[in-house]
Amino acid sequence: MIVKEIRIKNFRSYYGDNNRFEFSDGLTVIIGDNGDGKTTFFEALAWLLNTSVEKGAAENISEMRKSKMETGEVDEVSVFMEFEHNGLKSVEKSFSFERLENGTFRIGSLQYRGYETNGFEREAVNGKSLIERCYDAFIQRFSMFKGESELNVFDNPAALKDLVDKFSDIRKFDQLVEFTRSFETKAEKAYMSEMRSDKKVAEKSRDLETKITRLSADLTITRQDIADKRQSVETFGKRLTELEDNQEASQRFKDLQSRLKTQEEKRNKMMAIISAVNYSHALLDRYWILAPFTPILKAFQEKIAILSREKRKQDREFERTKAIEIGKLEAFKELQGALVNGATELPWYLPNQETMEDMINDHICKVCGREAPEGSEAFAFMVRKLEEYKRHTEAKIARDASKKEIADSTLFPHEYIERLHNLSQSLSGTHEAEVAGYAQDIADRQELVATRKADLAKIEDKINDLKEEKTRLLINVGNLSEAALEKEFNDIKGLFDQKERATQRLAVLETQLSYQEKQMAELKKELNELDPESSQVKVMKEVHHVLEEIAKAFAQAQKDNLNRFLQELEAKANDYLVSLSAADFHGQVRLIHTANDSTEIKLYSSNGTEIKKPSGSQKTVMYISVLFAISDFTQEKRDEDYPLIFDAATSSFGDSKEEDFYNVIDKINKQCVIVTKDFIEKGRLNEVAIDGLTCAVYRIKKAPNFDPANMATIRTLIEKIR
Amino acid sequence: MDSLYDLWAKRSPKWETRYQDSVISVFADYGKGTNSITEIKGKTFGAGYEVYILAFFIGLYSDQCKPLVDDASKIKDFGWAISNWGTQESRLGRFSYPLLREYMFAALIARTDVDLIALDKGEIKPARIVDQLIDKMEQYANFGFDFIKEKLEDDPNYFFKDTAFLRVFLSFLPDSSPDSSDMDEDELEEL
Repeated sequence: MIVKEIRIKNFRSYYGDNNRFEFSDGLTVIIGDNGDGKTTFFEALAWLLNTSVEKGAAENISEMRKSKMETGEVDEVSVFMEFEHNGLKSVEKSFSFERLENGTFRIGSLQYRGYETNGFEREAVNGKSLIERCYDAFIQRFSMFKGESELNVFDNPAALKDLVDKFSDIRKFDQLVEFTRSFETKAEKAYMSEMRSDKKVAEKSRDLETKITRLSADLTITRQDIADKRQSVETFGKRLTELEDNQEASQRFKDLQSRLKTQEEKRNKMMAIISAVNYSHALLDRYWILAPFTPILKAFQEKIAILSREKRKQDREFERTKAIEIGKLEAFKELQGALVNGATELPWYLPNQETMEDMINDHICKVCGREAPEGSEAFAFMVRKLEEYKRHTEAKIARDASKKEIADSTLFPHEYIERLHNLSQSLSGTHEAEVAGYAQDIADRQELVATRKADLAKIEDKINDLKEEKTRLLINVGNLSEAALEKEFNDIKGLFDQKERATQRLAVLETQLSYQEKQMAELKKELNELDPESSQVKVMKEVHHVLEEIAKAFAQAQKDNLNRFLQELEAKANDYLVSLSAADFHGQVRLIHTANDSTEIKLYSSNGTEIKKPSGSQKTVMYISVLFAISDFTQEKRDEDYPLIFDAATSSFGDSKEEDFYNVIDKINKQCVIVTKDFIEKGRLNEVAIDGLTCAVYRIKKAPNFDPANMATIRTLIEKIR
Repeated sequence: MDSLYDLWAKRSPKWETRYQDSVISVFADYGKGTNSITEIKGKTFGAGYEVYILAFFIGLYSDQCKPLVDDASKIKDFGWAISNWGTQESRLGRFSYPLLREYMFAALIARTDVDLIALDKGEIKPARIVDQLIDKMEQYANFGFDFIKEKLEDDPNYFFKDTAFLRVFLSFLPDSSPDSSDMDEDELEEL
């Protein structure tokens, strides 16, 4: 089968229906950078050839096409392939899509259209069955590869069996082997039954038969045990090699892990210190909000001090005024009148009130003894004197009262200022010092945090370095998982022991087997040597013998066939390996048949050393060689060649290797399509290198002026360079 | 006799209702009491009065007053007397800060023009003095709320940096150099 043309319409980045690739019989290289549509090309082809899907998928519709459609508009996604396979044929897979009012799309059912040319007539056929007939899933599996990692077709244990089933005659032999075995069994049964009825040897033969039956059961068990143990030894051996290969890596890995852990613990501690104080909470809880408070506190204290002073001053003033007032009252002097002759009067309190009232009542002056009748001058004098006395007494009482009043009066009945003064006192001293210190507290804290952060940054650097180292290590050891690296390498000893035990057991079993086989041979010989009476038995014996030999021969041939097939495949693969590697070192491919009936591809140096860790490009060339060899078998077997299609299979190749590689493939006379980003350096096509190629070359790239964030602006443009 | 402090602390100062959503609820779990959910919700503070205290100090240190609107319907209080402020420590890692009230009171005394001599002489009722103190307090906080609100309007995330409030208060220090606090801020963000 030769692919002639592929057309892609509205399939993801392939917008519209002007996307066409034509293929030469040899190599076609499709060059594109990341995101240019390489994998989409490959997947479009895979989608076309996948006959197991029944429905169109919305994610395959070109976003650009979708964005340009009006409501009600209909278009289709399709991939078309024309190919030569016993005449020109074509197949197209498509589905329609319609933009609905709500902006969603209705997806139509999947259509397959096939055409084949019969003589001069072109007739429509079922596209699905055409694909299944000409390029079935099995062939696809050995001819279409996405990325370097998919190249190892034998990673799947069933692959060899499938391959052998398809491309060698061994399976035909299976029937024959089965046939001959059943003949042998029947013949033996007939022969033994004759023996049992033979009078002469009946007893002996029955005895032997029983022994043989028992022994053959034992033999089956022993053989099964041996097969099991072989597989164990193989498995343990493989794991040991793997572990030994990576022991160094593992130790480094574990070392890195523990260093990482230490650093991470340090980091957590640091972060705990740094985040121990919530700055917003500290404003309140730690009174940091008071950092700028000192001037206000001072103002408060001063204000209270002034107030206190002022109050005291006013108080003093007030007291002084009071004292003066009292003094004034106390200093009150009675002016005494003078008598007619100039002598001083008696003071007002002499005589006293009682005496005077007595004299007035008695109408007599008891001082001079003269009578003083009512209406006399003397009487009037005494009455006046009494009134004066009374007035004086009242005045004294009043004076005393006002003196007391003055003495009792206060300017400040309340003590609010004193209470404020107490507060001011309590806020001075220690508290004042604290307020003044908050700014420093904050600064100290910030400095501490800054220092810790500097430390933290260093630790973070270390952690990043360690992580990077770990990543590098993981890349270096290849596909080994972290878990595998982390496993204790004490395992090695355990594995060694297990392998040792299995090997010893295997040796024992093998000795046992050979002993049992010898026994079996002897028993059979003994049985053979029995000389039966009946000639019928003799004939049966001969017939059985012949059929037994035939069955053995077929069984052997079956084994040989498989080995021959693998040898041929190996030889072809090595031929390709030599040519594909051009001048580079290539080694030798070996296909190793494993105990569980699978095959491993291994690379050996010509001196017999296994190349355990081939480079990426060596591996790729090795696998591609095997794939070419398999492809040759398909050609031999089916009289038809199939194209090999690789997506980004050569990403591990260096520049010089690329050119050689492509030119070699071009000359191998096999249709090959390679989608690659080789020949692109820093976004530009390496035209010199392309000029060196002789094959067909396409360049695919994103149409310019796209919006990097919008998928609906992305479309792939195809340019045929050669 | 209750001291002026006692009388003042019995009050619950008022604030403009418009700051409830624009400032207080932004930082505090106002109206829901302090609980562990606050942490989960990422609120900086528990009680609404904590934001009030910050606003008050901003006004105080800026020495800027802003009278509250006249419309009584646009004004409310926490219904939580000052004497209760900072007495609870229900949230993990928080401490009570009873002394802060005394400093706030001292600041109000220092900054309010009240005739304490007349008060002690008995010429004025203490309630009037306390009215004046509370009025001053409300005006300072009102200014502070406005300050925070404007900052939030410029940059809604301004105060969600760990050191943002601290920086505001450090800027009131006489020799504050904003550069030094800038430095660790960006680093903090990365943690």
